[in-house]
Amino acid sequence: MKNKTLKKMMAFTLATFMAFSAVGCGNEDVTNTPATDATSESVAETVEETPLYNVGTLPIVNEPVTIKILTQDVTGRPFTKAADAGIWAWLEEQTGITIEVESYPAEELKTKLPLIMASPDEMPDIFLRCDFKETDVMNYGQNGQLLELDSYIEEFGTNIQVCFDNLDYAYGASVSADGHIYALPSFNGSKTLVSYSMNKEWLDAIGKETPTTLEELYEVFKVIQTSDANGNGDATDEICLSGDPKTFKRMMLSTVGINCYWPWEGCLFDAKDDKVFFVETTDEYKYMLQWLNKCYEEGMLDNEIFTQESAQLKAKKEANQVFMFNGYMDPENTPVTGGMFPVPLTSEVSDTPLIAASAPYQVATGAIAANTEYPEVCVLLLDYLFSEEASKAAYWGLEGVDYKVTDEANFVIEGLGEKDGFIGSRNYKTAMIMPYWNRDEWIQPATTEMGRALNEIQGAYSQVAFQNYLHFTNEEVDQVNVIAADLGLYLDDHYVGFITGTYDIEKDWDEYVKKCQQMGADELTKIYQTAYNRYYGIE
Amino acid sequence: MERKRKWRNQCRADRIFDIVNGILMVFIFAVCFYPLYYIVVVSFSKQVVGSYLVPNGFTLAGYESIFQNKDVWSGYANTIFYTVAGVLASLVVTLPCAYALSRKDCVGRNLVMGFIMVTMYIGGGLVPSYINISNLGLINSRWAIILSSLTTAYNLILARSFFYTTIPDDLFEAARVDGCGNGRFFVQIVMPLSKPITAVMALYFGVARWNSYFTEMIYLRDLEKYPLSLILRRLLWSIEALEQMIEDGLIENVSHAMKEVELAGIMQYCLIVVSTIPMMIIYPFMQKYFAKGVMIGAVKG
Amino acid sequence: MKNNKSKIWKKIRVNWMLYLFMLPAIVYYIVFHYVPIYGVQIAFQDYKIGQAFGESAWVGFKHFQRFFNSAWFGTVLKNTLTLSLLNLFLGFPLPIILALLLNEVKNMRVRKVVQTMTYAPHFISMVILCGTVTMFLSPSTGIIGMAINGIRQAMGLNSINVLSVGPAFKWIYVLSGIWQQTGWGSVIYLAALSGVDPQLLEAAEMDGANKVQRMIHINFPVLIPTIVIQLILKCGQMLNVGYEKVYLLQNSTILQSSEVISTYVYRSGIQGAQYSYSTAVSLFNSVVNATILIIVNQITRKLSKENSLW
Repeated sequence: MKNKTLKKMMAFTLATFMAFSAVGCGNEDVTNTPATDATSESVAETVEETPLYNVGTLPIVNEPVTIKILTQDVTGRPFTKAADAGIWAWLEEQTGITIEVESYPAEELKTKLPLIMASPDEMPDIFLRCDFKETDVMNYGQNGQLLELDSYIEEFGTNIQVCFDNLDYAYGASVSADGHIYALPSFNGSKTLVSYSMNKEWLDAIGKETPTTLEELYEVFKVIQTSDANGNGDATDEICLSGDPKTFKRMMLSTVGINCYWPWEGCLFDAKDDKVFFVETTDEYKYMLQWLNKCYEEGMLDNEIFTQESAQLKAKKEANQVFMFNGYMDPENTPVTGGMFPVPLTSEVSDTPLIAASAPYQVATGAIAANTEYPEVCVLLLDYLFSEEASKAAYWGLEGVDYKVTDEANFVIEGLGEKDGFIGSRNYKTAMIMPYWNRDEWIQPATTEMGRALNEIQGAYSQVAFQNYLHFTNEEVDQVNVIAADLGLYLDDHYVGFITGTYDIEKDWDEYVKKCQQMGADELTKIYQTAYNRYYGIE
Repeated sequence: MERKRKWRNQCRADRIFDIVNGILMVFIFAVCFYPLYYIVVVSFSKQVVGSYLVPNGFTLAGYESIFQNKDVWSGYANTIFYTVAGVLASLVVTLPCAYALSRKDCVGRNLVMGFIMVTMYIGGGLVPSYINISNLGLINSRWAIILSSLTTAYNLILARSFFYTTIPDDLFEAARVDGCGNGRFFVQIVMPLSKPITAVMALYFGVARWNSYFTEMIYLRDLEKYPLSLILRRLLWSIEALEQMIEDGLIENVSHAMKEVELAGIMQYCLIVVSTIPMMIIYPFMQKYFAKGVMIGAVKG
Repeated sequence: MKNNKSKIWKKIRVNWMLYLFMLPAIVYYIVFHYVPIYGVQIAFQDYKIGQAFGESAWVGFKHFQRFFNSAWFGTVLKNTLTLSLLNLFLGFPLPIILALLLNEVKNMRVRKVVQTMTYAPHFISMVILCGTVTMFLSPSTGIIGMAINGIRQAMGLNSINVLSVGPAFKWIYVLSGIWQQTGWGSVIYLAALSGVDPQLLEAAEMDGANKVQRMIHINFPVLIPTIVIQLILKCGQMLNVGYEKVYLLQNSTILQSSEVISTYVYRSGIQGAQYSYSTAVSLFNSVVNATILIIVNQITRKLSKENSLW
């Protein structure tokens, strides 16, 4: 707590100082200029010295500087390369830096990254969205591959400071467990909701109201099972509940009041009143399993839910055979547009509707190599990305090219470029390849019926789940890995086993809880609590 | 006439055998054929699901997308280069060594064999191997691909075993009496007798290189040097990534994205067809080296 | 003593060319395999990403102990061995039989066609293979899955999802592997069969031996050296059940039956790369494999010296 306030004060003072001295360019930083080329020295004899870089204004550099960037190929578009994105040319124009982009698809980068980090000669200057794991960032920083950014941010990170001041989670998201900043996150402001859909037309067909609790849902399932709800003449082909088994768990947990977004396998944690608890031995979790088991045994749960390929699930949805599933119902993909998002379900063990949401940021999307020739220029470039115009460009695209503004006062936009309509970061041309700070006032009102419905109905109940953005020290990681590897596998096995009836939930539950504790659930909880306290600054 | 009489002259047991064998062959053919046929069918379909005997919506869209893309063409060219050059290099390194190892009068051959076999079981790991290639200055060089997998212990053992059982010991003795050295003996006598093993080695090394993508992925940085197998992998990953993005709700226009996933899924099958056909065509040519008695006759002679 | 030594040197000098033959391969192994071998030390260290090799703290057998003490050690070891052994018993003889049968087909055109078709499945990528197998076995839309349930219903049993049946996993794994690799595996045997003396076959035919007898007594013995070598080498791969295929074929309903060493180790990297741990487990695998190899080879030496590996 103390640390944080002190930092904030320092940041504010520096920001003010910067704002005043911004006009005078970076003259006072001349002495810090690294490896200045001969030109500036010889020029200094006749004219006043021109520094290499400018703080607080554009362009960032006064001489041609080439920065190499390593990033990910924009996912989802086969055969496209990140270097094709229009954002680089725009950045070059704005900052005066020449940018060379090297990129690979995520899977390839995952394998190549440790190799690149092991060869100093091949390292780029800046790493953008290289999918660093948080602890790896800390280790790379400590072992001298990544630049420690603390002092650089204080000196050059104007926009970053503003971001830290305005978003209360920003600093915590950026700092590693050892107290230093080695990488910067991208703050996209919007939370992804884990949601589920139901088919309204089926409900109308059987004459039932939208269920609001698990128990009511079960009654609805009972009716659907025996009637021809999808109207195709066959009363036996209806599947009440299906989905992707991974994200399905998140959806079910929220109905019993547990808020978990990621991971979807292994050891899950939630916190109430700042006390972290282990999810998979709670009574709420047991209640959920009992309910699911009942549905499975009575044939309401898709018996292929754990084994089918996604193409098969999609085919079932399109054939209008599924009543409820996790995820988004896309009206265009189903023959019957009966999809709707219900108010999040509650149950006997939880009376608050809840939808798990992801953290509104992604960690470690921007990092700088320690051996770069131009550390200040790199920091200035990253800092620039947090500025309003650069963040807008990075997240939404370029005005006139990717979107046009239809409501000046509120920044409501309309997609261009993709004739099917897209918005900003969903456009594959510029999307999600660098750190940025997406201001709240830019978040769009949803334009599709589906998006609007989702926000209206489920948005109010969303809560961010904390588990996936804790930062661990090396010792903690070692302990977590040792315990979580075995315990996680045991939990996954029993999750499915209790639902399908392989394990008897009435008889085997106590034994299961005991085994979890034996395997280290309590130690794991303690570690997570420490990390949680560290993240939220609780002493 | 001659053939018909021969068949009737065969004893009953043989005829039964031929019939059973024939039936088995048909069964084996069908079992292997159908899944391959299925892959071809899907490559011409609009959708992966539902195409069993005929395409579910015939379309050339998959193939069009593939052939329009220049990465596929360069990938094809690269693969051909790596395979041909790689096989030649591998044969030159492997066959002489295997022959030497098969000679009983070669002192220290078991030591060398042991030395090589240790590497089948202990390896330095990905990062040290990469640093090694980097120190040799071969990162992003096509030579890295050719040289880093010149031979394998498995193939050396197989080839050694072949030389061991088919080249009699006294053959060299007889040749040496006539003034023929090891070198000439190998090139002029051993090699012509070794057509079967050369063909098998060429096939083994060739197929391994044709399908290989991991080594290429870690040592190459330029897209123009990527082989076709790696292009296929990248296609696969982009499908998975796109599906994941849809799952996570990051795509606003889901149907548009889903269509892309579908198309990419079909493209996968098209790429498989396209990259497998050369291998299928080559094999019948190799088969003549497996013809009966091609080698024994030469020895007797 | 002196006599023996000078004999050896004489042999070496006379056959100097043979050493030249071996040289490129030896150089290759030194440069590309022995030079990086120092990486193996991290199995005994606490390697943290970003450290240079040799800088990390030594921890002795800590990682091995972690593996042996794991609650899943027994399960993954058992599953790995089960898959390997089943593959060996079923998958090893079939290429031999296929080669022998193909060899007997008189019509060259039929032979070529069938041969090419059997070896084609080898080229299908693992992802497509596993995806296709999963779809074919689906009880609602897969032809094999639906067929199985049709038969069960006819017999009065309830329908099942074979992908959720634990004991079925090994059969799915092995049978799909057999489909994919038998044709390819028969290639080396077909090549070896070209060493059969046609005159011997003719003589046997004259003496009244039918095809089956000729196959067993003349063709098969020619294959024995190759068979023995292949068998020894396969035994030396006993714990190497690859990660990719198991990962693609398994699902969460059958973890107990399908988790093998390689998939288990892969899961361990939850918060960060686990280089030390996975290296240690690999080393364990190698030691066990090498031991099996040596034992099997020694047995072979006792039975028929010239067919053993060394």
